[in-house]
Amino acid sequence: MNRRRWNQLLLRYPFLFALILLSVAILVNAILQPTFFTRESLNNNMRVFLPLMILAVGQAVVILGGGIDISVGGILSIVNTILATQVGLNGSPEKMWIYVGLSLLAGLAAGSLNGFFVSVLRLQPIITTYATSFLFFGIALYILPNPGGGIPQAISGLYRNTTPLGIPLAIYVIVLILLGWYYLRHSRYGRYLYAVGGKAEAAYETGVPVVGIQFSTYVISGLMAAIAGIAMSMLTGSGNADIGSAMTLNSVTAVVIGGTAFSGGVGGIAGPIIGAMTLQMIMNIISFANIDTWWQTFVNALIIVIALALPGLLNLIQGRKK
Amino acid sequence: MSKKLFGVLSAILLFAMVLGACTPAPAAAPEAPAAPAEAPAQPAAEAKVFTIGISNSFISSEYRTQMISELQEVNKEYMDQGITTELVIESADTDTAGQIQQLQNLMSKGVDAILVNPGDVTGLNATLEEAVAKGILVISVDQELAANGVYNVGIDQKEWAKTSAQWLAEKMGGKGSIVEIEGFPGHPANVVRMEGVDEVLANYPEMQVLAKDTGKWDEATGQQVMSNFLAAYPTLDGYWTQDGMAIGALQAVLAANPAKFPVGVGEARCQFINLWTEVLATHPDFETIAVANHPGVSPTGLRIAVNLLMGKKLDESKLGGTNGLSFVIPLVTAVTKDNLQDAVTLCQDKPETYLIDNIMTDQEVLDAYFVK
Amino acid sequence: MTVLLSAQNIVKRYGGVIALSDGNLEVSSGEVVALVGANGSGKSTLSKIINGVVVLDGGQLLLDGVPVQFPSPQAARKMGIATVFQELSLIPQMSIAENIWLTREPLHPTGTVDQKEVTERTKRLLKLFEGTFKTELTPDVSVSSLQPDEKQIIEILKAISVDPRILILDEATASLDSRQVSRLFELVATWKLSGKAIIFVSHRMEEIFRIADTYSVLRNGKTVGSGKIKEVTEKELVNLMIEKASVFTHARQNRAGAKELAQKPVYLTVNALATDVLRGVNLQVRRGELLGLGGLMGQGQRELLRSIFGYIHYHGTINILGKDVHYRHPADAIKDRTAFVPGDRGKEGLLYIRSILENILLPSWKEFGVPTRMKKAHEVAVGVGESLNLKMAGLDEPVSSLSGGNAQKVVIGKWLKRKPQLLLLDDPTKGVDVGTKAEFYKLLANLCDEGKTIIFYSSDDEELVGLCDRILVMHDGNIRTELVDRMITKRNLVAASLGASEEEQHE
Repeated sequence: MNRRRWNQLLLRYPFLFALILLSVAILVNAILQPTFFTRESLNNNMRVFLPLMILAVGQAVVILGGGIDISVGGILSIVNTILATQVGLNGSPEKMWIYVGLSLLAGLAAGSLNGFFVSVLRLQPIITTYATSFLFFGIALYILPNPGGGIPQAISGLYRNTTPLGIPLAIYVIVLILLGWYYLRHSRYGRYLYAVGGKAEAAYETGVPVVGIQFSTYVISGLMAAIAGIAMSMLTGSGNADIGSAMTLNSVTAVVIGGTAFSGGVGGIAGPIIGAMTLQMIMNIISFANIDTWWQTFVNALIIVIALALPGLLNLIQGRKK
Repeated sequence: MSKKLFGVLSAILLFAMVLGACTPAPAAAPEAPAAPAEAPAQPAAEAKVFTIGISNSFISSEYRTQMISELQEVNKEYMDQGITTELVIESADTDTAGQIQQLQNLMSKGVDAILVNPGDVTGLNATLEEAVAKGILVISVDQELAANGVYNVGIDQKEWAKTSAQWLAEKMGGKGSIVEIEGFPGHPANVVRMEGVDEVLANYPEMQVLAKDTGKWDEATGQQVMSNFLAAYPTLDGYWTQDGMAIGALQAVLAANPAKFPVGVGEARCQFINLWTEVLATHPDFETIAVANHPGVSPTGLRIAVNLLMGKKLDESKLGGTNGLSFVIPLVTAVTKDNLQDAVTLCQDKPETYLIDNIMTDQEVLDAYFVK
Repeated sequence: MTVLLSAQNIVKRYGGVIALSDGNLEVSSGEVVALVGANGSGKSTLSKIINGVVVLDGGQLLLDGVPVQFPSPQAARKMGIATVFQELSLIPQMSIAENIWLTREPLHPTGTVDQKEVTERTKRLLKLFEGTFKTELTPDVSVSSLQPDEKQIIEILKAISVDPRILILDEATASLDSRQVSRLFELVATWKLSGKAIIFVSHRMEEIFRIADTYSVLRNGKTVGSGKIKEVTEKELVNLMIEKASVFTHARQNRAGAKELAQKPVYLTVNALATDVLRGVNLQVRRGELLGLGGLMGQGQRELLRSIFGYIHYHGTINILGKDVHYRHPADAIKDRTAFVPGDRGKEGLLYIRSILENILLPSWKEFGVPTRMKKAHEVAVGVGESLNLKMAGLDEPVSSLSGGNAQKVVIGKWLKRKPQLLLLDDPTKGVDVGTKAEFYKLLANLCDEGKTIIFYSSDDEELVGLCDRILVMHDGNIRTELVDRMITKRNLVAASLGASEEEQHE
């Protein structure tokens, strides 16, 4: 394959970079950890990766639609504190499913609030969701001021140790999300989403319900953040209002690594899922290697910059050849 | 087209994973390198070589750096005796999920014991309990956890706070006005420390707390808060603070340069000791006490772990804490004017960031916590 | 033939500006009506009212004799009105097929898009223009990779895919080559036969006479004539488009005729200047000359000015006072005493939130040394302000506090300070009030008298005719016609702009 074809391939399949990175990361992980491919290791890894993967899916949908959602971490925290206090602590474990349902509703409501501000009131997405993130973290702190709460092991085990047919539960979740996405992508909604993210004015002139589509992306993101929050709560078995704060930026990073353009309208969710996985694998390697902080920061920065610059660089190279 | 390519690639990936999942796990025995032939301290009966894993979720602090290098030093002793292998260290700046991942990695590496300095007070419990269930010895250092079966090794935070508060009250003759700069309100360590301070002050009704604010366990914020206090209360008699905020507070005092320097609480870090001696050159009356929440608790925890692994019997009566599994490590002697010269000498060949420390010897550990 | 759509006495105001005061149009099934008019006559506005992009302020639309209202483009489309937009309504990241069928995708019963059907239908549409593309197009090609003409064709296909009763072609032929235009016209003929009504908005006289059945002429927002195209000549049509009595009252005195100009030294020579838009422009300007650039909007006038200023990359040679120059950056041009007054003041000409003083002195801070001698700077700025008769609350007020006209004076003022020899003006009076315009004209006249050379592009034909020594009419990246001496008339300018075949010597 000559270089030009290779470039074009990368332009057409933006997640290739993430896939290559992931393959390398898996390889290094497998070398560092010979038990990497055992059922147990796989489940251990996947159950930790899942929350960020789901978060990245929601983030990707918003970014595809031309926005950004900085509040996903806050929504995740709300769900985490709801479950920790209501199912754990002095709560009632037997009503778990009710609170899981409630958590999903909370995610939908938070997403609707973002959607209302951004699509109906036409406020700047980045500033708006940054502001609502404070609101959400505030609510989470109100629900659970100090870290604590213990979700009974019988319940958290449902998430942590369920491996039907020997395959980690997380993989089922991802497959389900991908199937759902496949359907959306090929329905009219998918077309609308890409159109709005690509060029909202043109989409409007063509008769696409731009406001509704933008609104929906934030609702989807809120729902995904809630699902991620449920997974996270089951994973840690406890509550911490601050638990989502580190995850917002990681979700954006995962989307970037996954080749979904910030400008909107380009990419998908497979890339961000791979991106989220890659990001955590790299973290894993760094953790294993016990290297200096600055290296860690440096490596993360390098990956993001390369992921961001790659399409531009390829265009530049191609442009020169023309 | 794009979907097809992705489909193929992801199918391969998935297949590889499923395949991996179905192959039986290789016997998870740690690849025990042939133990050095001579094991002088230990008779041949104990042939097992232990692997100990370390999980650390925050590395941008001198405390943690000192902790890691001390752990390696102490482990070296045991390695030389053929008792342990090289430590498996998982150390990176990471969040709760990341530290869970660290712990899982240690488990899958088949370590015999895990020493964890937790970044989340509750979030690791489920994972740690899982490790305990697998027969792994788990010790949380520097932060008490309420997880079942997890040992805690640390100082008594309340006692630690009381030491400096008691000294402050006595130095001030039991009366006068003070301010308090605390760590993160709501953080468990801060909560018990402040309880300790309150308990001491309750005995001195003539001591008046003018104000209390958080310095967020940060030197710069501590300095900022202290500056504000000094502006509001220029005739302040004393202040109580903790950890790295103490250096900031003293710098704020120097900058404000009040007529009478307040009596304050400091940190037993070489940077503070050096600053202290500088202040004494111009203000010989200046009084402070330097205390340290010392990183040496972790290597001490390592010694406890090794002894537990070797099957030594614990003296259960020596343990306390919320889950009844906490080892309380004695505090390091505080530095006051009386022993300042010793500290200065100690600091001469240490970096500025060095915390005055103490690691219990193997014998001390045995004497303190194990049945003789 | 029955009238399908009728627009009657349409009024549209944008703020205080009346874009349409009495717009009328009738089109019947199976008929092509040409909507013609000069720049700013209101034809775009009228077509936008018919397709629902803007809402009318007065008058009424009748469809099949029934009054209708279109609050949105979708509403109009539902009633069978489709538009080929001039500003393309395509989404670059999506494929041809996805764009054409957006919002009207054929669906499987499960709700997913029937990709096979979409591809089939798109192929059928692409067949309509088969053989006119430079490369063969397939439905899955991304729109972003298309050439302008290809995009225009996709836009046409998108409009026709609705199977509309009324099709509006708004300058749809502007970026097409002759083969593609012919194909389009063949298609229009078949669409006519199938009973569609077509509204053809165009500047190209030749095309209007080739395809239209009827015409409707707009002038200054009013419909001034309509009828059958067979019963009108090109000349009559142009005459209809032009105001009878000139309203321009600021005509410059002592303008130089061709003979006088010939005696002045050549200041600037441009040879074979080519860019993406320009196709080998040649021109000469003499010292003290006020040269106008005319023509329809977007024919390369701005690119020409920007190339000379070193703003965009170009091929060809530029020669100033006998010396070849090739500016790579505006700073080089400024050094050679060339100044550029952009049309988009907010974007290129001014720092809106900064003070008037800062804006005036921006290109000349160097003169005031380090540290800046503020007092002297202030005096100089006051001088500039006075010479321009700047109406302001104070030099320290932000430029955003000024009216459009005064803001434009600041742009000119900041260059006058540098005593430029060559001024490039890019439609400087757009959005400027009448009073300021008059002052501005005076300023231009003074500058010419002082021996400054000016190249002046304006979208206002009156201005060009009233002020310039000579006018170059641009078309499609080239200079089509040169107007000098008594040939400088509104009529000639409009005719040249539209490419009408004949020119008159006298008014």
